[in-house]
Amino acid sequence: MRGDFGEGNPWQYPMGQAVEPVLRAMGVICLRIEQPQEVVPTVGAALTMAFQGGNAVAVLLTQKLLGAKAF
Amino acid sequence: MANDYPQGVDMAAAIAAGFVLDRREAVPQLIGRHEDFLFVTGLAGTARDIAALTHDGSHIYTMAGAMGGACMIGLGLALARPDKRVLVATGDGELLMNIGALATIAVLNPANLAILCVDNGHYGETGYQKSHTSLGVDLERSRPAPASSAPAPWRARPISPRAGACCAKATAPPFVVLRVKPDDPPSYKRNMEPASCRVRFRGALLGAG
Repeated sequence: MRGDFGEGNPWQYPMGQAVEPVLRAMGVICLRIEQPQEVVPTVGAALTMAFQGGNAVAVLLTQKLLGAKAF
Repeated sequence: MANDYPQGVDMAAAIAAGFVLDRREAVPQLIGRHEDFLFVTGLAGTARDIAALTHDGSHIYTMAGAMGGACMIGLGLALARPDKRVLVATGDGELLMNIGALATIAVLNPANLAILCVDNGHYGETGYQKSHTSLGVDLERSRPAPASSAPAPWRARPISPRAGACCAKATAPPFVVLRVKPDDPPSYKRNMEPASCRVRFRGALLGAG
């Protein structure tokens, strides 16, 4: 996600910061990932929550996980 | 010399495919008197081209996000202000994200809008990955437009110093494709704070009758 941890481009904030509140307002459960070791269990959990639990789920790959872009 | 080129770029292949111009020379020569236009630019390369040309003037609006929006922002501005000449300067990557904008512009046909595509065949900012124009897509030929009314795309190779003056007098939207080498744009450090750039641009729009 742009507009997140360590973002240096002001254009990227409005959308990036709106992602989670907008998704939550629409009833989408948001799971943020900040550490590499969280990726596999979080995606697994999201798949269970979506396809067994019947919920809309978003997995948000944060810039703390991905690193902030230089541009 | 080849070591000066951006990492991973096959410059010989790019030149063989027609990406031959130096954007630092071609863009200023094509545009001529930049004071004659209000500019909307794409994100990285063209933003720096136009910021360097105008010293980050108040009559330019350079984007650093909202990729794909330059042509439609320019169209809206041209329609809202028929008394001003609007020049959209954008790259092949930015234009390819919303190429349908060209169809809308061709249909609405505002006489005060010109589009300059600085086509280097690559997504320069993210690491010079090849774009569609390096893979055979010709933006001049594939431009969506009604066959009956579309003005012929401008052949901007080799550079004509008068092209910018012609853009300023055109009666239908000129669409100019400059095929440039996949080399770095001017290293101009522009203001990237969108709100202050909007206020600055609005001042330029309202100030000079």
